[in-house]
Amino acid sequence: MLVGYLIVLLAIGFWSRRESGDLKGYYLAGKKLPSWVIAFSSNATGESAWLLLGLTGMGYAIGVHAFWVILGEVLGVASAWVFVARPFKEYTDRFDAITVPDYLTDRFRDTHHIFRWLSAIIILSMVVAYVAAQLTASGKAFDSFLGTGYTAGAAIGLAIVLFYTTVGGFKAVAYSDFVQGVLMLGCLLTLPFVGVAAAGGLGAMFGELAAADPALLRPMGTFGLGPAGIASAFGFVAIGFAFLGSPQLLTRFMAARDQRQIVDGGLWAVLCVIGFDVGAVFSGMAGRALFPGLVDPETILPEMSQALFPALFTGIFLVVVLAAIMSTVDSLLILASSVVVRDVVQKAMGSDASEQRLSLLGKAVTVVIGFAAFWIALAEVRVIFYFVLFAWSGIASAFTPVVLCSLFWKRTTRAGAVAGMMGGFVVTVVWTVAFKERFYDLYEMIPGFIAGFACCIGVSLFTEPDEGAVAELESVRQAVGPLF
Amino acid sequence: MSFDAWLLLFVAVGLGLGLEIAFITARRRDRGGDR
Repeated sequence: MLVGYLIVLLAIGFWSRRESGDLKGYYLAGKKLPSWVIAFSSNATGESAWLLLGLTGMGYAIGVHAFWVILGEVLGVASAWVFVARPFKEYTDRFDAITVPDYLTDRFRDTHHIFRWLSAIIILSMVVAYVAAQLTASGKAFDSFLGTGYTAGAAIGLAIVLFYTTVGGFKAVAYSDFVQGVLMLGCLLTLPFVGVAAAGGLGAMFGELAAADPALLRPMGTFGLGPAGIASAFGFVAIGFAFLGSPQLLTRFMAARDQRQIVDGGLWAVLCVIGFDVGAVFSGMAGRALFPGLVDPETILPEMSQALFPALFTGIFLVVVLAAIMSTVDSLLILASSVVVRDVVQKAMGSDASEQRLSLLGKAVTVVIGFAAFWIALAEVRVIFYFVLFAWSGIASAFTPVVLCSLFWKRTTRAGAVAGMMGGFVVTVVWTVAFKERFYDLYEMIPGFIAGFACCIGVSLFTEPDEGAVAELESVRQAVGPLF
Repeated sequence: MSFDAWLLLFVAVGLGLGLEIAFITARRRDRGGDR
């Protein structure tokens, strides 16, 4: 099973190799992707091993309080496709943009490349942490399922991703994400049905949960309707905000063949995220009824796969966990490579190297970033998902408020956008380090977004927008037409 | 599971699906209008 999956990935890499000869091909698959690929690819990228191990663990540990994550993610994905995707696609097609910093630079007439340098610093620091956490999960998954040892497991995961990413570029990443997304969806639609049936049906499962702890069946959980409960619920909803403007997800809209793919892809994306999240939470709840008393709730998926399915399925579940890891790692590596090569080397530093040479450099940078993350992963990051949620928040808080203002508020200025990026990112980091524990563990994305919007809007109000940029925004709005 | 838990789940799923279906319906109407 595992060998078959790896052969499919390598074949996709080999099949996509022709597209990766220039920068637009390597980083955006030549802007030719169909709706179903961008839909599954964006969801598989957004949901890492956190979905399979972390969210099932939340269903196990806190029960229906985890429904707030479903609310946030479903609304986040739907809003991204309905409100953000089409104007963003229209803008980036006009600018012939390859990266999100490309878009910001052209949107705000940034001749000093401030957005490119700032984006490079933020994306590189967050991507290395994010990929290191995923490689840690890869090492643990290989070791627990096949006994390879931690280091070998992380190395195998990285080697496979690096092969198909460097050979096939973004096209290989997007199509492998599609395969991986389908595998994840299949797992998360099957597991809760088998788990609930094994627990004796929905009624018996709820009975077991109520007997274990009645708070498992209440939306506000053990916290109740106090400040801690509200902070926790808001934090879970906020996880979904990142879908509105994180660069690794926005690149999917840029890579769509045309606007029609976005209209057609949205429903697939929403159905997919509903299946992902509802399946994960109900799997965890069924797991709690069946296997109470686990020391680590995040091991509930391997526990259920081994106890409820024949031995053959153990291989399938390993493949699904690896799919979740790889679909995120490949997209982050190519995102980091794109800011180094396209934004820093080609644009900010003005390299006149040919597209072919830059594409080769992009592949080399992908490998270097992968090895940097591997080196960090060797330290065996203990709390995998703490780092995942932090990096998810760091990237989202820096980019999402600014991207949203740039698409919907014509008074947004260059200085405001720079302040918004810096404010969102810095507050995320500072909040996590200094304030989080003192304020009911409020998830860093909420203060990060508030700071990002406040800085962007506040500074924009004291500066003047470029007249050409204002006219351009109105022209984009006209081209896109009304929402409903 | 309590009524408010079911309500939260249906609101989560319903809001996302409703938004997306309203959007697709509007776009199809536009395409029909173009013809």
